[in-house]
Amino acid sequence: MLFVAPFLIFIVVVFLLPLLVVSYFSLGPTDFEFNTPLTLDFYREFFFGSSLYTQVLWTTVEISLFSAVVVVVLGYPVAYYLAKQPPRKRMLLSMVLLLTFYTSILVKSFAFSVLLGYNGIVNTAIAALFGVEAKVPMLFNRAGTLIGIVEHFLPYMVFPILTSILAQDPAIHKAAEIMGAGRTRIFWRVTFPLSIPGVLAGVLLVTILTVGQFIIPALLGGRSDMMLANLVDFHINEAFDWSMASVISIVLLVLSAGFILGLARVRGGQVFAERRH
Amino acid sequence: MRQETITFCYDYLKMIHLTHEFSQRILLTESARQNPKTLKNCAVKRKIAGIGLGNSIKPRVRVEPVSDMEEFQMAEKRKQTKIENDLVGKKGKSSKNIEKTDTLSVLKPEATRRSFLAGSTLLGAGAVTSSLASWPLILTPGKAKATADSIVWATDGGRPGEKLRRVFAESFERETGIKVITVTGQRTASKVKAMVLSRNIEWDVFERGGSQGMVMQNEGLLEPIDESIVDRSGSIYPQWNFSHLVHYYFAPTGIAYDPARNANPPKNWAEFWDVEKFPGRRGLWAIAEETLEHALLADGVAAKDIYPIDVDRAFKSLERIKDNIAVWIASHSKSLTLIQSGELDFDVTFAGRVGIAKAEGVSIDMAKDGKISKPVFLAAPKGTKKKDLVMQFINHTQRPEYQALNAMSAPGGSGPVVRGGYELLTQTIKDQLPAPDDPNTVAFAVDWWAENFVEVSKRYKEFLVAAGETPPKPH
Repeated sequence: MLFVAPFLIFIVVVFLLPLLVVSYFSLGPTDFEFNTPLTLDFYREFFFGSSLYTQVLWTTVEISLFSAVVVVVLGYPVAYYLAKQPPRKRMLLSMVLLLTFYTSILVKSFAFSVLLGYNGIVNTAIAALFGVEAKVPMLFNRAGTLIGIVEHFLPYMVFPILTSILAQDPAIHKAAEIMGAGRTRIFWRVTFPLSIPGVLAGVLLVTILTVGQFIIPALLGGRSDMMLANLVDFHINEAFDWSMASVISIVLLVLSAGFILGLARVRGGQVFAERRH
Repeated sequence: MRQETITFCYDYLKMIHLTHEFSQRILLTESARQNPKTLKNCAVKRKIAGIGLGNSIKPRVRVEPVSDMEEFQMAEKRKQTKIENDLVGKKGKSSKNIEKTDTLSVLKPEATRRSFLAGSTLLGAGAVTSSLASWPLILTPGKAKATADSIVWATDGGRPGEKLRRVFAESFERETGIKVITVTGQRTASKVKAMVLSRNIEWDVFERGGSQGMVMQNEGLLEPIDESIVDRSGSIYPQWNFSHLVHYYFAPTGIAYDPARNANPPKNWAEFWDVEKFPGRRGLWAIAEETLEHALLADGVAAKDIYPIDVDRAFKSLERIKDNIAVWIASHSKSLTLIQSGELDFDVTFAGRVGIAKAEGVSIDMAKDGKISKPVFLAAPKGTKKKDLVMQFINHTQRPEYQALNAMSAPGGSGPVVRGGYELLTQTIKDQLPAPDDPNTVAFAVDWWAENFVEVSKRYKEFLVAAGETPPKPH
């Protein structure tokens, strides 16, 4: 226990204390004079006042869950493919995967508009083949937001899955093969079930990180793709309303905690469970 | 011949202090238009000053007797003093500004003369290369003497910030020896409040456009302006004078379009709203400030009648255009890129950015009407220890010559707010700016927005998130 003390102190200073301040601010005061009466008005405003907040809360949940699903669907085959490669090649390919990870979203958003914009490469091709009417709006709407998020968070999904596939005992696969199972059957009966902790860990990471996104929806989203973090940004940087910003932050925190607890219940908490061989 | 050289020298003195190649080009064109013979001279001197036009031009420099320059300087000074007297004198103020206002000396008066004379002498001696050394103020800007006195100025980043630094900070450093350290960062009320609350004042002075400065003033986060140091008597826009804020330039915004792609772009907001007659992909800001003004202008409200804003009417007008907006632009800086990349045909953007892009050869233009002039303020966070120095600096920014210089270094993009500064501008530059009394330009009402910003912004956000997206029709 003693050796986690430095970490505990660190967490108290950089997380718990600020969290306390935020919780305190969410009740009305925005300084430490301790003369402002505490109130729940800001929470009331969030849930029952302007429809803006609940609408945006819903958008946030929608975007984060949906992008998690898309990321699983796209990321699992990548992880599976990587797991089948010899170590050297796997390392090289992983680095390629990480390349986009290290590119600033500002740069990427520009690249996206070159590719996917109204006059981008893809739409120009579509227009040439099927006419201008067939152009597909892929940016500055929900699709743009999802494309940005999925692209950005793919590695968060691929690596946990990859680790859990690699950690599987090859003997189990061999046994299944000896018993006469085909490749598809082995995948669905052995590999996939055993990799579920990795998938859940990935889903957890992606949803929680997506919930707090604000740059991607601001750069690539449409007018209705406003997320809670955008509202925090607005209340801090423009509206100068620290109490409302604190309320939204608390809601975000509870939302993330909700995701964690929800996933922990799935399959008896396998996300956190010890891996069985 | 003499007059010609003098005109050129005058132009040149203005020119050498301009930071961007493009503003120089504009002035070059201007002086060439006025007097074709001067063009060659400009080119030659540019080379001397180290700006460089290529090696093909052989430096041939004509000598003018020094006394002519002095004579010219005196005449200019008298003329300027008269203008100033006419402007300021009426208010019974024999302003301290007049002494400072020496048109020719964009630098400190004595320093100018000295360096200018030195320059001329050396040029006369034909010592072209060594004359580089006699223009130290041009070639090595910003090398202020290391003194204990310095202030930290939080301002724009990138090229606009660089320009502001050259025009205001470096001239201040030269004149006073007080170092101005420029930093960038979000100058929000929250940031300032955090500094004031924690008594950790990182900036001595900062700039902020629009209504946010006023919010900070109302929250008691700013030092009051010391009127005994800062002379605001020359302001063209007295409605932007506040107890804790000094406006030092204004940034016009308006409708931008690509003339190569659109032969018939909307020329005002009513036409911008008219999607039938002016087909094209449109973008509006996802920011309430200014967008409501655009909506009202589109609805037929005259520029002078915009304030107080009829919020309901503005939203009704926005409902009409809503489904025809391809991009709701969340960040001011993206407007230009969206047009350049062909994503949009018309949107709203800062004239300064358009000016820079245009000078660099980008095919982009702006509608002359329907502009909004948005003031940019300087303010000092409460508790700065350098208050007096800051006030001196703020006063420095109000001097006509720097006002003019700032306007010239970003043609059309930043407007002078001091009358003397406006008078100094050449016609070419004036033409690109909304005139102070232009009936088609809205002068942004800081106080209205400071009061209504939060409420209106929330409503605007509700308006944006409400109802699903309708993909704009292709054209």
